[in-house]
Formats: sequence, C-alpha cells, structure tokens
Amino acid sequence: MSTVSLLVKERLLDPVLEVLSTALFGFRALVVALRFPYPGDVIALLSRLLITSIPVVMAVAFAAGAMLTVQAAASLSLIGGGPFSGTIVGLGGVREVFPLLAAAAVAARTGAEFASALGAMRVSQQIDALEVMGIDPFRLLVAPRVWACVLGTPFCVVVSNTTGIVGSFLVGVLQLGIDRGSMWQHLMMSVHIGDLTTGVFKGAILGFLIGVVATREGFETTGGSKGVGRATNRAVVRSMIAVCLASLMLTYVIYGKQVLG
Amino acid sequence: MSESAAMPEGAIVLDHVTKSYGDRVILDDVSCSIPSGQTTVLLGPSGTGKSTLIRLAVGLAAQEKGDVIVLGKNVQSLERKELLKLRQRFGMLFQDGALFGSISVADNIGFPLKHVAKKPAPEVDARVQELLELVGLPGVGGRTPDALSGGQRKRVALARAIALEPEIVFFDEPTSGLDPQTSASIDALINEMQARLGLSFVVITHDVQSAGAIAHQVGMLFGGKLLAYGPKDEVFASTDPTVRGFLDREPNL
Ligand SMILES: Nc1ncnc2c1ncn2[C@@H]1O[C@H](COP(=O)(O)OP(=O)(O)OP(=O)(O)O)[C@@H](O)[C@H]1O
Ligand SMILES: [Mg+2]
Repeated sequence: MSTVSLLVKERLLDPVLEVLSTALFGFRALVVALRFPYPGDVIALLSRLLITSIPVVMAVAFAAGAMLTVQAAASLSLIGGGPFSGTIVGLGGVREVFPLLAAAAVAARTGAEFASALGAMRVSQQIDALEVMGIDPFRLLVAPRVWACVLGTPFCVVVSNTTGIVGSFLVGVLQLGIDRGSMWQHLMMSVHIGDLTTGVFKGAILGFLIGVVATREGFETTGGSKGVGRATNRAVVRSMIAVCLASLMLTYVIYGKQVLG
Repeated sequence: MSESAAMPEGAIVLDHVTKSYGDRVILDDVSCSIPSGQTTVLLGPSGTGKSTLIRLAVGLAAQEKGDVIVLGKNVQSLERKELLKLRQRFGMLFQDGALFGSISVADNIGFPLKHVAKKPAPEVDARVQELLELVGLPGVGGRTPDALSGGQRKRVALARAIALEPEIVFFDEPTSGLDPQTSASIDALINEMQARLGLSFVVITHDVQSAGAIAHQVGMLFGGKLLAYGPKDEVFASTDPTVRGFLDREPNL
C-alpha cells in the first residue's frame, strides 16, 4: 500500500470505524440497560463512583470557579463592574464549565477504573468464563456500569456547580474585595433554575457517553496486560473527547437560539 | 480419522471444520465425533489450534467451514439466547483458571450456582463446601484467588466448572505450568470425578503423560490436521512418524 492510502486508512478510515463500532456498542448497551439488570450492582458501582469522583470534582470546580472570577474581575473592573464577575460565573460556569469539568473528572476517575477492570477481566478470560457459564457479560458487566455513570454524573454536576459558585464567591469576596451582597446577587441572578435542571440532564447524557466509551474500551481489550494499559488510556482520552463534543453540541441545541437568534 | 461425519450419539461432532485467523489456517478440515460419558484428550504441540477447537465448541469463536454440533445443536446457527442456554450445560476450565479476581474463592465456585441455577444462599454455601472438599481444598473458601498457588487455582476453577454438574466439561491444559506431582494429583482428580459423575470430559493438553493417565479417547492435532483419533491404546500404538515423534518426545525439526 502506498504511504498516502496508508495514511488515509490510519487517520481517516480507522477512526471513523472506531466511532461507528462504539456507537453500535452504545446502542446495544442502551437496549440491555433499559431492562435494568443487576440493580444491586448498580447501587454498589454508583456509590463507588460518587465516593471516588466527588473529591476530584470539588477540587477542580473550586479552582475553576476561583479562576473564572479572577479573570472576569480583572477585565470587568476596568469598566468598574467587579460584581458582574458573578454573572460570568453564573452563566458560563454553571451552564458550561462546571458540568464539563464534572464529566471530565468522572471520565478520568471512574471511566479509567471501569476500562481497566473490564480489560483485566477480558485478558484473563474472565469474560469468556462468564460467556461459557451462559451468563451474558453485557448484562452483568456493561449495563450496570453505564447506569452508574448515567445516574452518578448528574449528581457530580450538581456538586460541581455548587463548589464552583462557592469558589467564585469566596475568591471574589475575600480576595478581590468585591462587596459580599452584590457578588451574591449577581451570582444568583444569573443562575436560573432551568440552568440547573439542564445541567442534570446534560450530566446524564455525558455520563452515558463516558459509561459506553469506557466499558467498550475495557470490554474489547486485546493484547495482554499491555493492552489493559492501552485500553485505560484510550478510555480516558476518548471519553473526554466525546464529552467535549457532546457538550458543545448541547450548547447549540439548548442555548443556540437564545444567543444566535 | 473418522469420516462418518454425523455420528448422532457423539456429545460433540466436528464435521469438516476449517478455521483461520487472517490468512493463517489454524484448523484444516477437521472431523471427529467425541463420545459422551468418556474422557477424550486432544494432544498436540503449542499453537496447533487446540484452544481454538474448544472455543469453536463453546461458541466463543466461529469457523468458516463445516459444522460443530454439540449436544445435538449446531453451535454456530444458534441465536444468542439459545447459545447462552446451551452453555449452561457446559463447564470449562480455562488455561489460567479465569477465576474472578474481585471475589472470594467460595463466591467463585458459588457463582454459577447463584447466577445460573439461582439457588438459595444456604444451598449454595453447602454445595461450595462440598466442592472444596472434593478438590482437596477445604478451608480456602474465604481467600481471594490471588492468594492461591497455580495448582490451587486450577483446582478451584475445576470446582467451579463442575458446580452445576454439566453434561460436558472442557479442560484447557489442566496440568500446564504445574510440577509433575501436582499434575499427577490433578489427573487423579479428573479420573475420580469422571468415574463418579460419568460426564463427558474433553481435555486438551500437550502433556503426553497426563493424556496416558486420563484418556479413553485420544486425538492428535498437528499443523491444523487431526492426524490420529481413536481409543487411547490404538493411538498410542500408532506407527505414523509424526504421531510417534510427538508421543516419544523427539525434538521437532
Ligand atoms: N484471536 C486470535 N487472533 C489471531 N490469531 C489467533 C487468535 N487466537 C489464536 N490465534 C492463533 O491461532 C493459533 C492456535 O492457537 P491456539 O490457542 O488454539 O493454540 P493451542 O494449540 O491452544 O496452543 P497452546 O498449547 O500454546 O495453548 C496460534 O498460532 C495463535 O497465535
Ligand atoms: Mg491453548
């Protein structure tokens, strides 16, 4: 094969096939998950997701809230609008940045864990062992993990929003010396209850993507223990990309009309 | 090699089965009928497709040509649901045990009892104890698999494979990686269980000594072909130079 056609195959055809095969996996996961198999496992996985992901979510969202506020205040105070930095955090933070960061934290923490757990089961033939026992590994392993992500990520979004606002408020008031009352007022004025429910809905969608991408990478691991490392890495990278693209699309779908008219 | 393709009484019938990976032919037009209620050992050097043959029989892989009939069902033509159901009549000991690493030994053995047969917990516990004693490992139920030696792991995997008293048990290299004494004790265990339960055992191995100890039937796979197949004594008396070479452990040039 010539270098050009090889490049086309590697850079274009293979990624498209990967996306299609992940979509197919996601469809299958959806069909199986809708029957809600192994609810006990879902609860165990969900609690583990929350326990391990929430500290990461809080750290990241707090820092992001603080940083957004510092930068917003730096530019707005030029025109005498320090308290308006609350508006920026309220709009951009709660609508976009905090949910995205929550999903990224879940992808990094739980997505990696799911991919490596399933990958290790695949290469040590534990998934084959389930198959031969007549147990559908898709029902037992994939569906509960996808559910855990779908249920857990919205919760992380709520935590992320709350922590981000707290971070913004504390930095604005304690460090930048913005008036406490007007900072709070601007924060609260710009956050609508609709944005919060949208965040929960968005969290569920992003969680579904993380669950599907991570379990798929783990489930289809090949190549021994090296392959498990590769699958884990891919799961994080690919679910991050999926989450960012989906988040962008949702922004246009949900807010596009408002802004673009 | 038996040419009488569809002997119906066989637990497993392979009918002109060809299987390749990419352009490498792994199994080349293999036919045989594996009888029920006996131990059949398939011998062959590393990489000849022994594991592949088992994977075809349990439906973990698909052949391009020919049919694999197990317990009267054509494995490849089954729907997924039916395949999962058929598999509940199998047990399988994987090459490295394939024990579930995140749960205890007792939960591993009890797994098919709980999840496939849906037995109540007290019944599962009692049966697990019984199986642990049968494989000579009473008292290790509370450990996790990584706290076991290789030989112990195989015993536990064996207990899990026979937990539901399946009609066919597949063994992928039950003695590989074990010292001669432990190997002999696994062979003895296989014989004891075969005599006690009268199940169909299909064992693949490259361990000629072990084959001699447990087999009723022996098949010899070499380069993707089934070179010899029949009662143990017949195959062990074969004059085919390749078969002799393998059985007498002559270095392979
Ligand atoms: N999924 C796969 N994709 C590509 N090639 C494979 C696959 N599985 C097995 N093979 C190849 O098929 C051949 C037969 O493999 P198989 O595992 O059946 O051998 P084996 O007789 O069980 O060997 P061993 O005694 O070492 O376990 C090997 O050369 C192997 O590399
Ligand atoms: Mg093998």
